[in-house]
Amino acid sequence: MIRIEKLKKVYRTEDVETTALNEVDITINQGEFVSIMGPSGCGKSTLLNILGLIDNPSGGAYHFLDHEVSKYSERQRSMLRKNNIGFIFQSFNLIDELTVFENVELPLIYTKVSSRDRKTRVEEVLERMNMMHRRNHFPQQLSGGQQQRVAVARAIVNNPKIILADEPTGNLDSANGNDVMKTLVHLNDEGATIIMVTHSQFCAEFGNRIIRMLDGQVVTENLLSKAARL
Amino acid sequence: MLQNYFKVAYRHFWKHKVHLLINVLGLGIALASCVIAYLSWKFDHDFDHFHTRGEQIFRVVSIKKDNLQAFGVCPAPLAAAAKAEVSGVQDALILEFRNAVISNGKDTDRERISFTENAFFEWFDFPLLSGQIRLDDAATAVISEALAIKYFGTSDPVGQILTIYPDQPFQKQLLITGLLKDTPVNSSIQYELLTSVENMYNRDNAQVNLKDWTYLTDATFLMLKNPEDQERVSRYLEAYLPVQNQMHSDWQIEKFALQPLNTMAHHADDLRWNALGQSLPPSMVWGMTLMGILLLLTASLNFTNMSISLSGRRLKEIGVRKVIGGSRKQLIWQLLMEGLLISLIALGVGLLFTDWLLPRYNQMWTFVDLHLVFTQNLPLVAFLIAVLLTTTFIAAAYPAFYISGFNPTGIFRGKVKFAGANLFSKILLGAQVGISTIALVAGFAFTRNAEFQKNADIGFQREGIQAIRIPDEQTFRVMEANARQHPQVQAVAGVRFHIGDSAPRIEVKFKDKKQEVEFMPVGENYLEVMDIQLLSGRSFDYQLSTDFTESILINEKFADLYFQDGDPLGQQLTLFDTLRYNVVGVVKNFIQDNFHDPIRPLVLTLTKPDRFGYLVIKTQSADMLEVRDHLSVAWKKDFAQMPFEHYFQDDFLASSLKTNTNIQYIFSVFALIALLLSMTGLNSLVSLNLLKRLKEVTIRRILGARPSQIAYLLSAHFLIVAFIGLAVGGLIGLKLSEMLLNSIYQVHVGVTYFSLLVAGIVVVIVAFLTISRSIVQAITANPSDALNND
Repeated sequence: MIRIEKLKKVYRTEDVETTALNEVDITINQGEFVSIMGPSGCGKSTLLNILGLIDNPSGGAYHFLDHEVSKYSERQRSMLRKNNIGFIFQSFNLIDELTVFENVELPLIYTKVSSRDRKTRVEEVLERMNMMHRRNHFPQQLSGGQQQRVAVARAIVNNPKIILADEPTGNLDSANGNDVMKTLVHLNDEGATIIMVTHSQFCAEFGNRIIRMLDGQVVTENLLSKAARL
Repeated sequence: MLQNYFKVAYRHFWKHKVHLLINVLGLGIALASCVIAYLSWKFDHDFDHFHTRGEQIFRVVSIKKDNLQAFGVCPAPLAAAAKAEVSGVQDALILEFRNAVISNGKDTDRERISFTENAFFEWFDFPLLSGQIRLDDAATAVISEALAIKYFGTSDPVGQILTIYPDQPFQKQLLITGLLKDTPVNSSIQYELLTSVENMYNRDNAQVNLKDWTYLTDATFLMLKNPEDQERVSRYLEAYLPVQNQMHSDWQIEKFALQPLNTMAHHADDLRWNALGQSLPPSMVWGMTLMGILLLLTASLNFTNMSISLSGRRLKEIGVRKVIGGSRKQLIWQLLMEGLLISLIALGVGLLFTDWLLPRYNQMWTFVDLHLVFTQNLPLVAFLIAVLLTTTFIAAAYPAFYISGFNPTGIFRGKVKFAGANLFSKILLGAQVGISTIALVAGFAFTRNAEFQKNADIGFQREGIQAIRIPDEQTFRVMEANARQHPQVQAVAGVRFHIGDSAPRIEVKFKDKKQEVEFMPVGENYLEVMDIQLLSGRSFDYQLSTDFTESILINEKFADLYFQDGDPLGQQLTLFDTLRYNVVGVVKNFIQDNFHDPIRPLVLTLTKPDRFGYLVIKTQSADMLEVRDHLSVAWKKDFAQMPFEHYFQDDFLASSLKTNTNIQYIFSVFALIALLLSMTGLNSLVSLNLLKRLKEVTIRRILGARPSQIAYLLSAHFLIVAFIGLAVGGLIGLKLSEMLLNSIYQVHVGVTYFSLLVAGIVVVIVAFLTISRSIVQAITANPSDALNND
């Protein structure tokens, strides 16, 4: 599903050149739940952004659903992104001016789903996330856990082939964090491919593979048994 | 999608409603100024355009041989001759005017009577409201609605009688046969009562002979078969020059020129002896346009600044939209639509404001009548759409195109700090402060000029002076005696053309040089009553009979122009080709008409009561009303058949002062709005800068920075930009004020750096007050809060 080869990302300022990713090779298959770990600054979020097509690599190859996308324009990336990828962020990134319902509805608007279908699908996912009773609330009226459940709902409303989660529990207490992780496992069980960046070993172990990074490189990859996640 | 955009826009605006309100009001007022500027331009452009046969109609003007000056008058027989003999001329028409007394038996006043023929109404589209037009019958007249109301109130004027010239032996009763709609204000031809040319009398009270080449009509029109024949027809008219010049030896014409009806009002200012109206003063049209553009620019720039600063708080939304599938194009559209929405609301506010303002604006100027009418007014609708789109583009394009280009990764990492402190915002701020300063400087320049007009030494006594227009010597004698009877009257005098009542211009010959000068025959005591000062020589001696026929006074201007090398005293001047006068004295310059007109070379001769046109009365200022009432009662007793035409001296200067006060008022409002907008912009920038640098400011405070250092840190960049704007705007303002004063007034106070200084002080004080809240907030906030919130 995803294959990257010798992927590089270099940030340049006037005086300094920082290599965020240094010839990274990773392959992720459909249905996997991959956790990416590593200390701050190791390049894991950069990797996730490139995988999520919201950033371009400086070098190497990126095959996404059999397309070589590393040289894609923003427009092409946007097309692929909105049809195939759902995002979950540490700081939720809900739009403050939109209600819960409208936030979740937004990806469907961009993919031109009809109004009636949008309503059905949004209500479906909100029901699933147990957020239906908060559908007309604004993000600032919700707790952190609730906001992240809305963000998850928004990420999955389009039935994406892949869900990218950047520290999804980073701003949550342990109970809410656990809830979110269980939701992700559940989605994975239903067939969604999940790639998650985390600092937490506890959260990482909800996945079935852990990739550890250091200084822009993959240092280890561990497969986890199904028993370990449960 | 659109619904989503509107929803977000609405909630976003509601969150920042104070900002939005200021911007919408600012934009609304700016758009209202633009609409008024457009309406003024259109009103001016459409002068005389409402006549369906207008393109075929031309006015004949005479170019005089000696000075090549164009005159609105034309020899009377030319019309008939051209109609009969000149190929290409389909028809010809004359139009004459007299300011004459008319009466309905009860009310009497001096009105403007127009003399013409029935054909006038076939040429021009002046609608008849009731009755009929029978100008071929010299015993009839048609009148305007305004005159009908004045003399007949609400009763039907058709069938009523008006007497023209009731004060003259040839008075005549006219039957009113028709009621005409009032003339539009932007019509060169303005009428109140129209009657047959047969009712015209000349100065010697004889009926006018239209076959007399020495008689000059006020306006001669030709209707050409083909408008393109204009040049050819004017050449053909040259055939009449020999006969005219032979018959009228002291009025030699070089050529006749044809002015198209549709554009003649715009050239009327260059015409002498022009009895028709003229278009708006150009300074009014371009002044309003410039003001509209500058105000719109200020408001749009403020809007841009607001959008930029608020965009900083919307970066997350932009990032999220991009990540979940929104394309850049969609984001650009979203932001442009928001801009359009605000512009639309502002346009609504602007139109409401225009609707409220227009009647007040029309009241300010007698020569303007603007209306906001949308039906069948495609140009206005097109203008509004163009302004709307331009405003949207200026205001929203930069944020839309710039912000939509941000990379979401940068936004989510917090790398994008976009809070309105970039170079573009600073340039916008500088431009706004500059525009505000322009308006302030102009406002102060006109305030100074108003003071000048009220208090300046204008060369004569204006306090306590009033005048009555008198038709003949007998009236003068009676009213003079009445005036002298009143104990508060200090002095009286007679004059042919009183100061303020445009004196005629005549030719004066000095040696071989001919010069046009103003001619003012004054009576005994006039110079003393008006306190006109003598600079050299002597004044008139009323005991000397030769002073009435041989002595002349000139003003300083005349002396400076023609006697630079020698003493004018004793020099001989020839007036009216044959009358020789010796210069016996030079008087100090004085304003002859009002501040709009220059001080012109002037000659004063001594004249007797049979030539007087005014009785001038001097009192203490406090006694003026009492004396006026006394004279009014006396007039009504003895001369009830004639209107009591009374003026206070200040009435003559009132129009100059009113123009100045109006412009001063307009600039003050303009300055206030522009300043409010630019200071809102400054406040946004400084408070956003504080927000962005709160952590830095807090750390500096913990490390011991003084409040002044914090204030400097937060505001220095903006204040430097504001000062540059102030300096540039101030200099432009000075230049602009000088140009505007020059274009309106021939006599004015001029501009000095004082206006710039005062404007500068105002801007600096307001700017400091504006940013002080943010600064105080920065230096009084609890440091731990700031660090915890970061």
